[in-house]
Amino acid sequence: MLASAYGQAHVSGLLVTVRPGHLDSVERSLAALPGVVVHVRDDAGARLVTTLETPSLEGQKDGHAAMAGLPHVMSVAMVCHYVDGPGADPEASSAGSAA
Amino acid sequence: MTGHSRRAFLRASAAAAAAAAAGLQLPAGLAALARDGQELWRWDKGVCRFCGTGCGLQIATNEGRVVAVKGDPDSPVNRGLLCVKGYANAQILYGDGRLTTPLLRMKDGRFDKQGAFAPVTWERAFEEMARQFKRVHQELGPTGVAVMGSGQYTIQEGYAASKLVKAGWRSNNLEPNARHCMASAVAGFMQTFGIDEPAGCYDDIELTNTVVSWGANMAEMHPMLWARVTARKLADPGYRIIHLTTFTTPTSALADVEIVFRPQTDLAIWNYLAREIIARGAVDREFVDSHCVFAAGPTDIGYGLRDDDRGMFPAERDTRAEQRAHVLTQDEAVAQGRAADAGRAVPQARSAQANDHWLISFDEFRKAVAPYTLDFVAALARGRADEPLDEFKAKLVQLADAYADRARRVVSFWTMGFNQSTRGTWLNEQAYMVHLLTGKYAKPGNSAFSLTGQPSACGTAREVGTFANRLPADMTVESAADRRRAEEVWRLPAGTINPRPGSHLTQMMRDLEDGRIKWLWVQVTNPFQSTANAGHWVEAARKLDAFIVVSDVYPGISTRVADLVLPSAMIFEKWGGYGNSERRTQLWRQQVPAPGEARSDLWQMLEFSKRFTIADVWGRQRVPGLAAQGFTDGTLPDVIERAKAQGLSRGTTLYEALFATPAGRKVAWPDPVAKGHANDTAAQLGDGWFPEKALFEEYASFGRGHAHDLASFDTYLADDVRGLRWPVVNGKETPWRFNGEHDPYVRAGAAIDFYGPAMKSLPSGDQHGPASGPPVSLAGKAKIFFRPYAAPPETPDATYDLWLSTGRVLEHWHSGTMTRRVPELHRAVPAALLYIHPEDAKARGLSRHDTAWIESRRGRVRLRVETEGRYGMPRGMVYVPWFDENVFINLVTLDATCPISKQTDFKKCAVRVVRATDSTAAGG
Repeated sequence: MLASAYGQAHVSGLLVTVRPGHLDSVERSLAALPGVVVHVRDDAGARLVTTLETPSLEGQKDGHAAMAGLPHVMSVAMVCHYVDGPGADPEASSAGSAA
Repeated sequence: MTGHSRRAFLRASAAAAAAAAAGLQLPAGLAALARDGQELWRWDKGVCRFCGTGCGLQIATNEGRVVAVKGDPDSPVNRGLLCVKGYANAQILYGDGRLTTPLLRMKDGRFDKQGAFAPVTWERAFEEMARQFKRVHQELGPTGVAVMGSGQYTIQEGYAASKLVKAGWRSNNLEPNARHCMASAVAGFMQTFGIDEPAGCYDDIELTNTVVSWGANMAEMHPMLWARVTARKLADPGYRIIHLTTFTTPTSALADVEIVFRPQTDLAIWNYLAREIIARGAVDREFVDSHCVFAAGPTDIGYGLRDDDRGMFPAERDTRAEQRAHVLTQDEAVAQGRAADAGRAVPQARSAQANDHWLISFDEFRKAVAPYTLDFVAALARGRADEPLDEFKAKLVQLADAYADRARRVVSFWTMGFNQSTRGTWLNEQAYMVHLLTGKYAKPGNSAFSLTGQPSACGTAREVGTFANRLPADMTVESAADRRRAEEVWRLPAGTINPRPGSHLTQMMRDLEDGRIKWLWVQVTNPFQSTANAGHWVEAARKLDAFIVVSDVYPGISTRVADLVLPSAMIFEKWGGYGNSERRTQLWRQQVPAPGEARSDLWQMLEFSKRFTIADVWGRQRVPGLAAQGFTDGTLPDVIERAKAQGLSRGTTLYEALFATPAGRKVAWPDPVAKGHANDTAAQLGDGWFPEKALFEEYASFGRGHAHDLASFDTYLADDVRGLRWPVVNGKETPWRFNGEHDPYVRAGAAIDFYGPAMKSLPSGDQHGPASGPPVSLAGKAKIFFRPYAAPPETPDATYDLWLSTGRVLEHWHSGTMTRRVPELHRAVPAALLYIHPEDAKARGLSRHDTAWIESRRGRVRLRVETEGRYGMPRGMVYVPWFDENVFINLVTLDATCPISKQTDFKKCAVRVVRATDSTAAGG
């Protein structure tokens, strides 16, 4: 399976757009989901900057779907996806790319 | 870095990327952590491998693997955001079952069509491939061999394929799978404007205040463009969205107005709009008089079906008969201005002249659209029988309001809903009809925009010209002047290029069935799953004298019917370039090596070309049906002596004659533009040239000075460039073509100039045909076509009582050979479902999650019933996505095509649904 080949953690950065007027409730709901951290709140744009951390790639989709399914969430855009596991250590990467 | 701190870094980096995409600031501590870590990875720019939007990516690699993907915040297309398919760009490289060695059907150590696949070397693979090619070439000549390519070919791969097939083998049997998704758009552009591809660009999403989505489920199929629409909608209460569709989709959720129409009646709705615009005095007369003419064409043009009985299943007889004669319905007769012909069997006598058209007057146009009253069209087009007719009419009026209101800017979007229709070219032309009538075209915020479904349907299939009749920069093999120009650029002896177009994609399958094609190479596509009425073609591929080669990355239906499977490198395992829907060309570097023995498709073509000398293929050749001026009927001339005069010899290989030419070899590898990135294709060829750059620059020379100008190879790879929209002249891209403020090809002083050169001299006539008289020049003008409502060749009846439409779902892309290897995407939608109205299900004794058969005149498949979920079906219509090879829905679909574009109608045929009595689970 991909997850076992890759390692233990998948971290994605997600931008959540919320129906105006519902930022508080969505922020609370997001924070209650496993692996989700809300980092920045944009009141003017009704958006939340979040990360989703899961032990497997499969978990990312579940988390993504759970976020998208919350009441008053308009969209969940994926911004980045990082894999933490063999071959993904930034220090190892630094040594590996020195050439 | 410890596991804990690394995780904190990843989290901070992810948050930083998301914040940057939103234009927001991170808390200082988090930002510092993200900065510290991010400097340690090797990042490079790339482009998403899926759909035609062309989202920019940043790719991080480490130890030969892609370890991170993010939306490129500097990309003007997606501005740092990605849809759920963004995950797949890295993960598709590492799925289970990746093909890593050539596989040949063998028995007792020899190739055997009935044998099992066995691993072989590349040398052995090419040896058998060439042996089979030469056997077929000897028997059938150039038309007996064919290549099925792709809108997922890189630009360089498509260009190499075009050169190998058209110049090298002198066969025009090269077709992209884009025939199934874009051909109607191409034909619509060429006939209306005389040049391919849109005038506008994605910027129009922000600049307009009205989006009309015609059958395009953008929320699922083009999510990042829909995100831009969503952002505008949330910011501006006056921004209106109207969604026309045959069933409710996720796109409907954001729409102010949803119009559910009956399949094929979009043809009538457009003409209602034209009639209404004229009646309201909303025609922009200055625009129309200065820049447009009116035109019409034949209507009795058939449906692109076979007109013979070869290979026919018994139940296909009545549908195939439509190709010969069609009984006009009452609605059609009225809509086509010949009410007296209702009920008459009309011979489809002008199927071979479907492209013909002629000028008509504005008065003739007005007369032609006159029958399309609100009452007539509403009764014809209402898609939900339970929707009150007055409510449906009110929606049509709102639609007309949007187009007719001079103060409102409008962008119309469409994709397969138009293109995949037996009248797909007409539908494209009708969109331009309304936009041109109202002067809402080629202006910022006013656009009629054909979205593409594949990442390089534009950049490769269309611009490079990998269709059976095309050459680069909109040129065609039928034109003597275009052939001459291509022969000059390619340094070919005069008379090398075959003037007879090859078979279109569906025809290639029919040729395979008939034994007219016996050698087929499939690259970057899965045609035995994706071609309609597939039962015929799968059986044809297994005929004993057919040899099928499939280059692919994962196994699928096409590899299973193959005789030889070649393992290919994928997107970031090679250098490449794509062109997106808005004419934006984007290139990337190789990031990681391919696994095992997998090699790029470009390497495969170049290496295989070494197996041919010009003596093998440039002698006199038989080409059935060839009858062009300057050619002896039925033959291509021997050009070997002419080639010798150009310094070649009989033993010169096609590799040397076409690719590693003296000019090509001057483009050396390694090259500083690589910035330390590898090029395995160049390394494996091993002769010191840079094929991707050499081929790109040679290709670009076709378009420069011909309104298709590209920048230099190195420009696209510069750190501060995120693709450029052609024509790129003096380093400046062109966001709006045909517009004097933006397009350098517009005549000096002109506000608008439809300068496309093709089909710009026409005779005059009336709605029903041309009159005698000299042709008229239309230089600088676009055509406003009248195209009538016409029924499809197959409609629900007593036996097959439901419409079937097929398409994609968000999580899967095309046949799913890649995205189904990404577990998260596969798990989200593990099997294709039958979406059906609950009452239609109930009437057949079915409940949600039951197993049913869906059956047409051509075949049947078993699958699970879904009465809820993301699609809301009207009564009488079902929808089945086609990504799932275990629900092989193209056994059921009909291979009718638009007679002009030759694109298949995957959106409508007649089926019945019955309960499966077998309790075995369906859908795999």
